Amino acid sequence: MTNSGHNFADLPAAQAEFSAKLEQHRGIVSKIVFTYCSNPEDRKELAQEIAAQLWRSYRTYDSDRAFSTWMYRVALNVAISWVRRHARRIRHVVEVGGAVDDIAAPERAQDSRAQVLRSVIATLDPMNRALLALYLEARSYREISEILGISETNVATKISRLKRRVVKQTQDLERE
Amino acid sequence: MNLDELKPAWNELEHRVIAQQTVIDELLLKQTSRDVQKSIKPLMFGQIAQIVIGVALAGLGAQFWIPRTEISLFLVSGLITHVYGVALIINGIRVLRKVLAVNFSGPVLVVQKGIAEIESTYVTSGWVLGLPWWLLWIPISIVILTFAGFDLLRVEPCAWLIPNIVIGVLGMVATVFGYRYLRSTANPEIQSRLDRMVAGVSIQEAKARLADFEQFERE
Repeated sequence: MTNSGHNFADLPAAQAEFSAKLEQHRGIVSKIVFTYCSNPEDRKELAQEIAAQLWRSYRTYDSDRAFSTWMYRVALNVAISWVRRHARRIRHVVEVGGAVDDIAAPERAQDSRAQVLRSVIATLDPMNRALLALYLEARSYREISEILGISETNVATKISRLKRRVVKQTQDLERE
Repeated sequence: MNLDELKPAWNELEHRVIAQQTVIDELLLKQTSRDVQKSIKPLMFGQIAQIVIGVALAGLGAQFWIPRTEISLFLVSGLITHVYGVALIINGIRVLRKVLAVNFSGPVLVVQKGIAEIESTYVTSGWVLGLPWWLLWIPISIVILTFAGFDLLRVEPCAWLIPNIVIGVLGMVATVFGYRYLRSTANPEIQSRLDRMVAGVSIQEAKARLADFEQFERE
């Protein structure tokens, strides 16, 4: 039987269930926020919006389906919408500092991987950032296709393009 | 370096964000009472306001022209006000339905394409419903002033109507050409500000975003 949606008549129970599920997937919001924001204030604002939307959408969550898939969808949709609304400000921030400064903060010089990751994320459009995040999260092509709403073949094609891009950006960074 | 080699850096991010996790956890719990998605809220209120104004104008227009069909100036002014009011209502309901149908737990591409389409419809209808105000103020003023007790037929209507229509048409043409001229010569920042000033959001930006999502889907 499909358990579609939640009964909010017992609000404290629904909140407790929601909090428990969030606890199991606590890293998702943070990673999505870090993927799309560099400024701490922006991160806080985006995290707030994601949290609000997660709770609002929780009524329609079908518990027969993976919570993580549902959570990625909501978080990415909010993040991409947020980027759209703040495009001008974000563009400025990226030009000045890079998209995900905190990834590599203390070991910036030593960790070339973090530097490449930062550089790759900064150059990607919002949809490809989502794709990269899901791939790095080790989600299957099938799950990525469900989250993004594109075919598995399309996911595979785009991942292979991303791979080529990373190789090229690494080479460019090494030359600099 | 290949993409898979970036996974350790990505996983390192997880350890790093744990430090901020407490803040985010706190936010997640606090936000459970917030109920309306922020990005859509202003658009929703804008459409509701548009529908209310549309109902008022349609009502005013209908009340005006129905008992005055024998005077063509009043008939036309009332009908224009009525039709414009109905257009505002239809457009408002159309956009509002799309806004309310946005389901943030849907597949990302579907949701984002939907939002880009709403944005594109919104800014385009902003032009279509906004630009005619160069002329629309005339019939609406006729309706309001007549209801207020002014006898507009005391003076020959052509004497004030024709100059105002000419000014309105010239204003409308100047707005379109001025906008096109500034868009073709000004720098991108000015262009974008101009778009936002005229339509709230840049039509070009809205269309470009929609095209980006469609391209992502096709590739």
